[in-house]
Amino acid sequence: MEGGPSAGATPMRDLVDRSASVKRRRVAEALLTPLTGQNALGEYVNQEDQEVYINTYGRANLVKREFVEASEAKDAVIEGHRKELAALRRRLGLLEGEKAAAVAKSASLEQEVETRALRERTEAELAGGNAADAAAATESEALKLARGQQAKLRALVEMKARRVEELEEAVAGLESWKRCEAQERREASAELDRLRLEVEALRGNGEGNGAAERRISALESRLVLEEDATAAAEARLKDALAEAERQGRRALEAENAALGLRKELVDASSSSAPVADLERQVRHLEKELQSQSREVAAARALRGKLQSEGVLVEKLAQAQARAERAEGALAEATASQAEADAVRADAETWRSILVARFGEGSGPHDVVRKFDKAERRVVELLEECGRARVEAKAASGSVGDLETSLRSTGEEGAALRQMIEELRASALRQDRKVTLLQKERDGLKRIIASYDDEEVLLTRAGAGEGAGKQHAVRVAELEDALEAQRAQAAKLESELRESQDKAEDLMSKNEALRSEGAEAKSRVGSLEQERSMMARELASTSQELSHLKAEQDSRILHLASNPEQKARRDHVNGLMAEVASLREALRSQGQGGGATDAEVAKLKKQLESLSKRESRLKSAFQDRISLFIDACYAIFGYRIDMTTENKETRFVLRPMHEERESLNLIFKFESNAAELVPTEYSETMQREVDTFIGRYKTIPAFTANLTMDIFNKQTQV
Amino acid sequence: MAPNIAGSASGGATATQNNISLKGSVKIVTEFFSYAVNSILYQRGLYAPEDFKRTKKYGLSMMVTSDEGLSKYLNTILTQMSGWLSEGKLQKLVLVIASVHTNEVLERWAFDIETDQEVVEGKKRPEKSEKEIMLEIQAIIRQITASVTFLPLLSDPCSFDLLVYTKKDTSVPGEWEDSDPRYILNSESVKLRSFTTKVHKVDTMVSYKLLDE
Repeated sequence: MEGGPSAGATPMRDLVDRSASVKRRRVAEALLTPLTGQNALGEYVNQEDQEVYINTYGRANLVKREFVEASEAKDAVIEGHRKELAALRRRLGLLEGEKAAAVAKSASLEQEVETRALRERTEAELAGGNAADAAAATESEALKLARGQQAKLRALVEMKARRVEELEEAVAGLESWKRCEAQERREASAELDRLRLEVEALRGNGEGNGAAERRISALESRLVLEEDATAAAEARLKDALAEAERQGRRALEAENAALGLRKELVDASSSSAPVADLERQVRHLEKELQSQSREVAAARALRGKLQSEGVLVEKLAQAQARAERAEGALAEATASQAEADAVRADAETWRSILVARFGEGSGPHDVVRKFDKAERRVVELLEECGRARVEAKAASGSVGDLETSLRSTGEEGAALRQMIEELRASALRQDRKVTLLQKERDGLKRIIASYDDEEVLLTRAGAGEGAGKQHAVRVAELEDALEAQRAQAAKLESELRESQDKAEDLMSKNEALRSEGAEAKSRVGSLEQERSMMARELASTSQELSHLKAEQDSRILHLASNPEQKARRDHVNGLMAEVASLREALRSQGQGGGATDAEVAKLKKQLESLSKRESRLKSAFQDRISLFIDACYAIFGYRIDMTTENKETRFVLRPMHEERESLNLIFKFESNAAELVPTEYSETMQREVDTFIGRYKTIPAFTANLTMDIFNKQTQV
Repeated sequence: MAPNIAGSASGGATATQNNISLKGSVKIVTEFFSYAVNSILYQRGLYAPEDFKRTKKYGLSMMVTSDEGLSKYLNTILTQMSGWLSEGKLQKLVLVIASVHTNEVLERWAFDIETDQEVVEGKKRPEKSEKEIMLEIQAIIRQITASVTFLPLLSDPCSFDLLVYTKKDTSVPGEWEDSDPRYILNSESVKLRSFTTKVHKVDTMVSYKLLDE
């Protein structure tokens, strides 16, 4: 504030500087400079910071804080003004006292002058003869008087000069205060205008805050009144300033007059002026006194105006403070209303979600219950996943074990097959041995027969005892050889029996291992299925968890009126129209209800007869088929069963004379051709299979040969 | 009719050379959603082919609906999405195809959106050529067209709905309401290509219901 009183200017300036509006101006000033770095206060300012500065705070908070700061600054300014005003009042009081003293002194001077003038007149009248002496004495007295008056006038002039100086100081202070006040008023009016706009904006945004608005309107009206009073006070202040200027000019004139008086006094002291001049001076002094008294009255009036202005300023400050408080309350009310609206909207949203999810009448406890249930379900699923993983691990372990056992079983089977092959080979060798022995036996028989023939010939030829001895020796030798051959044959037969028993044991072991292997394979398959099912469940659970996580931080919205809803509504309407039309049709058909029932009964009877016929036909076909199977069995010696697997027709032939039913042949029939499916039983007759089916391509011959072989085996004793 | 969101119809007027502003990126992404949704509705046969008309975009011949009601619905959604994209609040757009009779969700097209918050706050201004962005979008549109080869046939009458994922503190107009996510039980997912404007990155994925064997 330029030209203000020296005391209190610096703190006020600091307070003002700290206000937000000045801070913004400083930011703007910094922006005008080409550099975007630190300004004089060490603050970093650039356009983006400014935007951030402006955009960071909410509008109401910015307004409130700025206004609070500005009001605090203004309060400080006003406090300073009050102090100045009090000092001015004190000075005015002093001035009045001095004025009163000056007035009293001038009155006393006037009285003295009057009395002296009277005395001199009387003395002049009384001592009329001696005019020159009287004149000289009068002159000396007049000189003395003039000197005394000169001294008094000098003192008076000095006092006047001091008073003029003080008045000038007071006027200057008033002017500066006036300038400050005008500036503050301009700022306050600008702030008020801005606040008014914001209040209007807040009023437009805020709803249901009638009490605060009414207060604001009342405060605004009071503000308007205060402004009017302020304007009137300003006008009065202007008048007071003009009056002060006039007083100043008068003071200057009085000073000039005092200077003139001084000059006159000087002239009067040097020259011997008559008493008339003194009287003129006295009259001039009287006029001066009158003017001084008028000045005093004007100063009193000025003081009264200042007092009233001070009161108006105080009232204005109070009104402004009330307006600020009301606006702050309004801003807070608006903010709380906005918060309440947001909370209400949030509650409505939650309520709608609850109703949509859990139906009418549900509450937060339902949500908590469902959430607990979901949590428990998630925990259960995790436990199940853990258990499934453990089971899968165990299953994979057991699968590994089964695979190793299967491998070992396969190896054993291979070893057993190898042993069986070896036994077969040894059996063939034994058969060959047997044939050789038989041949040898036949040979020996022929030899014996030839010996018999020789013996017969010899006996016929009349051989003596020597021939009989030779013959006996030969017979003994042959018997020994026969015994040896018999023993060897028995040994071979026992070996053969042992090997056959071993082969049978191995075959049974092989079958048992095969069945175990098949069971293990089926178990492995089931475990694999279980594992894949667990893996699918795990994947779906993890997917559900990821979905839940994604939904936690988001809000899912859609338009209330959407195509899906419209399509569903149309579908429902179509269905309802269809239902209505069907009801109409049903109603129209309701008159012929009896005929419909009869038709239904008739159709039911037909259905029953047809189903009976079908069952009869089925049983007849079954009888014929079983008769045909029995006939084939009786005629051809094979029980034939037909099966269909994977669009493939198979015939299973069980020979009549075989002891065990598991011994069967399987033929695959497709494209009017039969094909032998290898089985264990068919592998026992591989030679015949290769011969009849492989080389000669005839299945009937094979089956006929098999029938004869089985028959021979069964009928051999 | 192609939606008139804000700005020119051909796009890219707000990008000067390689600089992409937030406004320009929002326009590009919103246009992509418009054409992608129209393409899906045409390819999956949700509306009759005669309800669509041909238009040129991204160097391809695109099918856009000429049904007024549907155009209005799409415009409403895309205009709101444009606003949320500018605020950086939009997280995902999901197109759900469901059977009219059973209300079962059969297909779910999800467009995930990642937004660079620094650009939304005005702290930086990235660079990417418009041509590159258009090529990326073109690839995605081609993939959507090609997806009919592996997606199961929609034999039942179906309809669709558009779901929008936003942040929890987003301001929502009155005509919007909350929805559940409409997931598919027992589904198979296929991830398609993505595109980025350096301000927004859009990932595409389609999930469909596995047929009962």
